[in-house]
Amino acid sequence: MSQTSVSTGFAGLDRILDGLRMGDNVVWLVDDIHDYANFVFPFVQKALEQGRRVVYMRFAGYEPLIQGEERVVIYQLDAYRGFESFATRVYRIVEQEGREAFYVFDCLSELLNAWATDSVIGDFFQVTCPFLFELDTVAYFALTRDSLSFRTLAQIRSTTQLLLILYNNKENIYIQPIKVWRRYSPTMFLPHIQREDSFDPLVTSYEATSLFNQVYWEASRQRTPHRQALASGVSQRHLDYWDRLFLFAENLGALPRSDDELQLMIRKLCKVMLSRDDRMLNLTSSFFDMEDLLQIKSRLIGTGFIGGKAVGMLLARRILTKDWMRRWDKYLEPHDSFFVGSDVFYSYIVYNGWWKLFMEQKTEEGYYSAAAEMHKRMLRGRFPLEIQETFQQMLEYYGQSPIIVRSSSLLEDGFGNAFAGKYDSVFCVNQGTPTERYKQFEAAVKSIYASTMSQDALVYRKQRGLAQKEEPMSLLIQRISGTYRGPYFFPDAAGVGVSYNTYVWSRDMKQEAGMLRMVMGLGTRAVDRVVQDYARIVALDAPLKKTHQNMAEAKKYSQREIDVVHVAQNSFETIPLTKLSELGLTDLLDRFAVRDREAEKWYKDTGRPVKPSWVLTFDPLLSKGEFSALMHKILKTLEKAYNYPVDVEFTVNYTPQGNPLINIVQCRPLQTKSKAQVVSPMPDKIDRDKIFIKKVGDFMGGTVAEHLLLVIYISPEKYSQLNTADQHEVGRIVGELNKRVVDRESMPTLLLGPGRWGTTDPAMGVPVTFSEISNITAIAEVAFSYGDLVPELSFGSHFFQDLVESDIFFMALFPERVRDFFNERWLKQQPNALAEIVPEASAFDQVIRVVRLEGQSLWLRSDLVSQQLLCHFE
Amino acid sequence: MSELVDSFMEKVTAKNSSEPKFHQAVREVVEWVMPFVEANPHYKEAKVLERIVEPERVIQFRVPWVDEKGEVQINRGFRVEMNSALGPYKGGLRFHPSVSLGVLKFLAFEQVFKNSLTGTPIGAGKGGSDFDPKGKSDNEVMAFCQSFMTELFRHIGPQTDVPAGDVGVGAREIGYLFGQYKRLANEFSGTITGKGMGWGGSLIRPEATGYGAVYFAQEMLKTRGESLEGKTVTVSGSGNVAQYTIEKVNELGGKVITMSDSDGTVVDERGIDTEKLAWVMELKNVHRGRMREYTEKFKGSKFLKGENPWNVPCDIAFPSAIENEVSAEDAKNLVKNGCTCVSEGANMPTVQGGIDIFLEAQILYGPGKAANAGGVAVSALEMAQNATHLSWTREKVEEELRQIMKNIHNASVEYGTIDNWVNYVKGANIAGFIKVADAMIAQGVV
Repeated sequence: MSQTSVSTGFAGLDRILDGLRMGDNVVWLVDDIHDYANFVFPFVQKALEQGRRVVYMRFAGYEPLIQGEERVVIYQLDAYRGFESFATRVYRIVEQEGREAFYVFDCLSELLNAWATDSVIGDFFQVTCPFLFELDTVAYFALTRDSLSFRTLAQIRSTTQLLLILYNNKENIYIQPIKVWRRYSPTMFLPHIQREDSFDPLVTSYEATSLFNQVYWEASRQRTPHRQALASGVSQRHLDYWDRLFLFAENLGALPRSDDELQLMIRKLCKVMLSRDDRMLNLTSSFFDMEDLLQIKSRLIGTGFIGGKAVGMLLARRILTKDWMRRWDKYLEPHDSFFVGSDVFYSYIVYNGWWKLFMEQKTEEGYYSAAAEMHKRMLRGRFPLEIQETFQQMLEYYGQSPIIVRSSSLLEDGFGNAFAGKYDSVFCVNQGTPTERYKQFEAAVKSIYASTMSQDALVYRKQRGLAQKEEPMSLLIQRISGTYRGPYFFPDAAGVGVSYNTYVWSRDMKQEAGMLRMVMGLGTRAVDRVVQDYARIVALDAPLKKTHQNMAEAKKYSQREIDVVHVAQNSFETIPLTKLSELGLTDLLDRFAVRDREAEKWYKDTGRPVKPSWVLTFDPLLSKGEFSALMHKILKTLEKAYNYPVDVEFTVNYTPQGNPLINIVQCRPLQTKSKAQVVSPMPDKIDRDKIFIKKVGDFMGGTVAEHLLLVIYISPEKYSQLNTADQHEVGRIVGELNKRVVDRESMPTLLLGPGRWGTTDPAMGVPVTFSEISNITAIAEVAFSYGDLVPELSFGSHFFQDLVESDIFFMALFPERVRDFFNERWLKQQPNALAEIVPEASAFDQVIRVVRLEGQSLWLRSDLVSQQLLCHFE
Repeated sequence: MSELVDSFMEKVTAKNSSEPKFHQAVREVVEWVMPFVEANPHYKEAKVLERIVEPERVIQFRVPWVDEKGEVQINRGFRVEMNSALGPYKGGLRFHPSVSLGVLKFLAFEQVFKNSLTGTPIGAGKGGSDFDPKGKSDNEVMAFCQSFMTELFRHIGPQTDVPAGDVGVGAREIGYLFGQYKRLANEFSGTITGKGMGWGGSLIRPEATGYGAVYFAQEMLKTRGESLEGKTVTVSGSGNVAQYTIEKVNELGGKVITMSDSDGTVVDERGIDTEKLAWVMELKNVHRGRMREYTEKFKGSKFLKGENPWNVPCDIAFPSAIENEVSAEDAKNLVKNGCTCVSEGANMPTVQGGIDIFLEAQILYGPGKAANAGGVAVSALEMAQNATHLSWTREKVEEELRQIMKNIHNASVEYGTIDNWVNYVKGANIAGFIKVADAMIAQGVV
């Protein structure tokens, strides 16, 4: 480090401090920002005189500290964009300004307005100062005295080179150095009174005592209740600003206050703990009262946001319980979840000394390489002791109950965000000694933190232009809802509910009625969509209706395995349904499943020992009507409050009296599904020549925005002229094309063809199996008339369950209807890539047209609520 | 010869416009039969071909029913009574939105030759409705079946017309249809086949098609002095036909090394023995599982994702899955890899290009029309049991089935032998035709 002496702009002060040195971070503890300004200006002037480059980091709400000095470079920063954004921007500026620059920062206490916690200010200081030091800079910081907790102050003191207290008493200015790194004199740490340019130590005890008595009396006299929260007395200085803010809020709630004042505080708390998004803020601040917020805070580990998933879960419960008319309490399972605040995520990074690597990861070059290293490190870092202690206390609370640790990032599950499913959720069976359970839990937390650096999540973020966007990771820790049964623990049933049915397969069903995808056991099978095991799809206006026609199909498209927690083995397992029968859980099976008499007869007819068999149709449950009516009401109540369709994850457990207890474990506005990088809204008006398909209704798959790269079109006219064998051959060629598509991510494809996809009768449509269209993004059935055949469209019913489980979009096109516009002419004008992609199929090039959309931007958009579907060029 | 066929087809097309499926089915038969008719003028003089393409009777009727919401629904019902020269009309009922008169005529026409070929005393018909059982509740299906039978019952009977199940008409629908027939006709008779075992159905029904295809292969092999013993066999599919094909092949000493489903093919070079087959049967019939699970259960086997079994070398192949599953390329591979016998358990599993390759290579090729007639045969056996109010033992039914398959084979050989090779396609088509044609001539112009 350079020993070059730098001036504070006051020769007297330079003498006391033995001058400033390159690399010094100077922290001023002040009562009034003007006092700080008085020391900033001479410092800046002196630096400029010496030809130094001076940088002003401006982020506070008060008047600028430096004005009218054009030589100073000013950076405007926005603390409200969050800690990560702010600290990253500062890091980048410092990096860019390079060595030996001089810095003035606005008062860091101002950051409390945006961040509401001083521990994060400590973290900011801890990552910024060493970097400034490393670059031989000199930087001025200020803190409002008493605004920070002792812990944070200790953190800052240990990091900075100089810590100076500035008192303003009766028009006199006093400076007391608290820390001056590697400098010492016998009077250095005494208070000094400023007399013009000189600073004289208060050498008598009388002078010092008078000063401090005066200073502290004055401070306590000026304290308003609000200021108490911000600058409370010594008794509260062991608390973070965060805790003091909530203490103040609690007091505010207990005293008679104007509604406005209370409401302002509620909004403030929502803003620092629940969401930054205006729409979500409006919702939370209108449904949560002060007591709710204090309760949330009481279950929060660390500080900061609880994340979108946690907010959704809490909000859904509050919306329902506020609806007193329906007495939801009777049906709702209570929750006792904990939350790990977003700041803990950053503390974990800072505490382990990974900030520099974290910053590297945020560069273009380091985006993946540094992430891989971060991922590795995050799996084996250490948590600060106080966090470890709170984790431990939380685990003691849950005892040996199985819990799930769920990601709950800031943007996850908010309005219009499609972050869902990109981060991990981890089951903790929570068995073993306290130490083992703690290890298991900490590993779960680390794995979720590390998942923010997973290749999958990073690609996803980059594709959407969100690589640099702040996305702090909070955690939601929930007790797994369920019951112990033999060696297993699981809920009776679980699933996903959508207030708007995204897969209406019959004209007499209404989308507004909503739908469920239900499974027995843990809901993972419904949420994660397991290949070739099926959730029960329930249209809430026709709960007993199924797309399949007989027992054989009902069996094929039913759930055969269930996810459970194996308590004895401390693991998460998938067991066959028959296991429940072996365990004698017939009461549970009878509640949801029907006896498979055909299978039992088969055993008998084939001379085998008869095994009791069930098919999980959920018909016994649904035939009573109560459950589906209840779920419908829940979804509609939530939708009304959100003023938007919602989807929820839920569990159901039955009381011994046979009443359902529903646990809403997640709730979010229905997402727009998209694999595109940037999603713009559906255009209001569009030139007709830019439309490929336009229609209203008759589609399944919800609200989507897909940028298509390939269109495959089977001409109804040409197809109908083929003989049966060739029609079958078309099916096989579609299968070959499907293989070439590889996956939906890399090649979003629209497949259009006559009549019913998946029929076995080629006269009705192209006979394909599901595996022959499994990689297609959207399929369209085009109605056509030929000879005496006017096939009805299937609405995907031939492999409806597979469409739903694979999330394939479906539309039915009626080109002869006025409301459906289909630009077949455009298709016919495009070069056909069939022979190039499947050379052996070239003989079918009049029937099958494959259009590569190179250089053309074709979008498929749908809006579930307005039922508009538009496939258009951009 | 093709001019004669074209000229005949022109008339058929003119009379049955907008029924392309029917045209196609007629052409396929006429192309084989025309030379035979030309060589035997009495068939020509009696205008058998012209008569045989014309249904004896077509019934079309309204099927009104009320759905669960209380709304009235109207479907259209049909019964095409195609030919009763050999016995009561016999053929399935199909409930599917694709059902139309043209489609049913096409199916009924094919049924004439298929039923005839079995040598049993049954005529041919087909019926159904454009009703789609998919997405309907049990009550709705029952309401529809009862309304459908309320009209149909007056046209059918054990000596008149004996429907069975087909696409969309399974055990449930057969039960509802038979129940309503019994109620209206006030008789418990063998008017519908495919009934449940406890109430008039026949044993060996599930096994019939698979067993039949193997018996047919066995007969074909015999013509070359061979048997299934020690042969390597590939089977496609994993449903009833495939399962019972394997069961019979194992019983006769062959080694089956493949099974498949829509996901791909399992290859087990050690052979899918009785124990493994029992596991597959439970997997498919009870759990409705997927074939890929086989490889997890039985180590040493492999799964060919998205592929069919026709690239796996074998001596004998049994296509037992779906229509058009054997392409020309697959047929080439089979022949190239040494396959000498193909017996089709599925309906029309080989595309025309593939059939041409088999015929050109002069392998033993048993077309579905002949090789999968086991199902129809057991229907006829069910009728025989109902007529005599007896229930035969498994052994008795199986022996009868074996005999029927042998008869079909022999008839095909009689009319399909060209030098020292049997063209079973030609043989089956002509044998089926002759039996009906002779009966028609004998019964006069009716």
